[in-house]
Amino acid sequence: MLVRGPLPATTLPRTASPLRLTAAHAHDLPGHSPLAADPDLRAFTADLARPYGVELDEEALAGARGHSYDTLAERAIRALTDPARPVDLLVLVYATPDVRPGQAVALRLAESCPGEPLSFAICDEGAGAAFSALLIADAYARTAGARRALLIAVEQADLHHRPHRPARLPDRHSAAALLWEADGGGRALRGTASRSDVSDSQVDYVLRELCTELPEDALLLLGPGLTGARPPGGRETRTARPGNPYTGSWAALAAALADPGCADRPLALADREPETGRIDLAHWAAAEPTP
Amino acid sequence: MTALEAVAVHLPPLAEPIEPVGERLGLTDRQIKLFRRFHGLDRIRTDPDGDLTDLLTAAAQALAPLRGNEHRVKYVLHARSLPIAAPYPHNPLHDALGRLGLTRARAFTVTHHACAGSLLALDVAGRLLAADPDPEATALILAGEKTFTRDARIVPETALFGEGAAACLVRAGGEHDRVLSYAVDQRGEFDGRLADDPELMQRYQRSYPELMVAVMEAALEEAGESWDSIRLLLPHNVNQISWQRICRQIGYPPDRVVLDNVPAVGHSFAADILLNHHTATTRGLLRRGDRYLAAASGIGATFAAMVLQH
Repeated sequence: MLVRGPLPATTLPRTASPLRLTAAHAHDLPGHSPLAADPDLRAFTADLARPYGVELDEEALAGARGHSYDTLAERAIRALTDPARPVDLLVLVYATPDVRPGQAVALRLAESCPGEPLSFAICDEGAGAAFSALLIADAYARTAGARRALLIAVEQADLHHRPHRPARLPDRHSAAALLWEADGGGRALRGTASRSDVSDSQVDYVLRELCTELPEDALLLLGPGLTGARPPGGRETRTARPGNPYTGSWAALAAALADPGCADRPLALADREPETGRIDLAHWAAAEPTP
Repeated sequence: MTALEAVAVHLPPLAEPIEPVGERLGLTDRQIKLFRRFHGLDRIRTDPDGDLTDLLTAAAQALAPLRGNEHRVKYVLHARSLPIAAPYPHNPLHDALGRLGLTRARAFTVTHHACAGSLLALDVAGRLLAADPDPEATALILAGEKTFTRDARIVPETALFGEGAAACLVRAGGEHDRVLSYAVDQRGEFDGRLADDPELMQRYQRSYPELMVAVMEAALEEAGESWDSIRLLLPHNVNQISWQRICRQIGYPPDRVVLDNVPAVGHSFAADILLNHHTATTRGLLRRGDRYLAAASGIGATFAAMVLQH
């Protein structure tokens, strides 16, 4: 795919963004990828870990454990797209390493995605990257004319080194994806909000503050980083699986989208990345009827 | 229209001749001589004692206009070639932001475009800023990586990697260094390890000049420019010979391609374009209003080009 063109002189305001959240998908994958047995994984991980004085996880390496982001994401593409609806933008989101850590998976995924979209990956932001991806899709819709965007978060459960301190890790291999389209129907993104440097003791207060602007009937979905947070007064909430720290929030969103009882309610999604202390919130209008 | 407000570079202290670098990689004398005589490589900049956090921090600290304006930085993007750069949960980008007092900014790595990643980061940053309600918001792009593994040290028969780093402050609008166009061509058929797959390597090398020229001309066309109106070409620093060949093919004067950093620094991943921008402006090679072209390719493969106005 060839993407061309400067930014247009004017930018559409958020209310004029044509993209609507039309579908979402989440799945887990059992087993392990054959790529986890590739000797390159050991060589790369050893080189990666050495400067940081981190040990290899010999059990994970010998057991060829772990899954491939290519396989995880490709299933999401198959679930959410069809050739008659070409995708303009594909953003892959991850926090933990792939079993083929040097591969530019996003490029390969673009080849199997209708429309051969501009594709790239974002990472190193933990749970916050899922919200950055939302902002990026919104920005490309408003400034670059993107008519369809596919955002795919992936996480696999096995590290091949021993982390230097406790860190959040998924308990299974999972993917969750959101499809945004401009063809009508779906849910318009109504707003996003964010607070940085939020300490553990400030979480409930900040969450309550962020939620003050939400419509009263909005269903609030709390991501895995907000497990245990106190729901803002009186608001109905659902909580994501804590074992999926980096796909759980979108999986919870997918479940709500699939729930007919939520169709006429606005949805909100909040999550916190404990490594950075950032809390993000995004909220969508009730579903518009499909034309 | 996206504009580059300032660009700064950090070159690590060690400038090592390519001979010992090549020996450590197990290259033959002939291969090393080819790198020197044919590809035009001489020295490689690295910092054996510093890590990625040090590298990114130093690049940002070299960016004078950042000081006192940290509160305006809404986004920080690390334009990174390698999909993974530190053992999880180490996070060099966020460690660098802690040192720089930029923890309020939304910060993430943009990757999978390999060494063309800084052009992608400029596009992403420009669009985020254009969509942002705050017209004074800026984005900080950081580029630079460690040569920690073989695939981050050498592109077989093509380039040796160095650890040059750069930082760039971006705004949604501005008077100089405005982005006029961005073109990118993704070629997933070149996915794979070039070092292990001679057939893939051959196909990539054969296709490279044609695809590179095509994406540059797509960017020129979109910007309404032609080779005649392009004052300067800022390349990625893989080597000199590939750019000399491309110049012959398109009839562009090779002395207007900024190749200074190829022999002096090494191929610094996605930082090359910004390193060369800094060299061009420091040497006074661009005058106000000049159009120039930045072009890079990344293994995987991505070909990208951007036309800017100084």
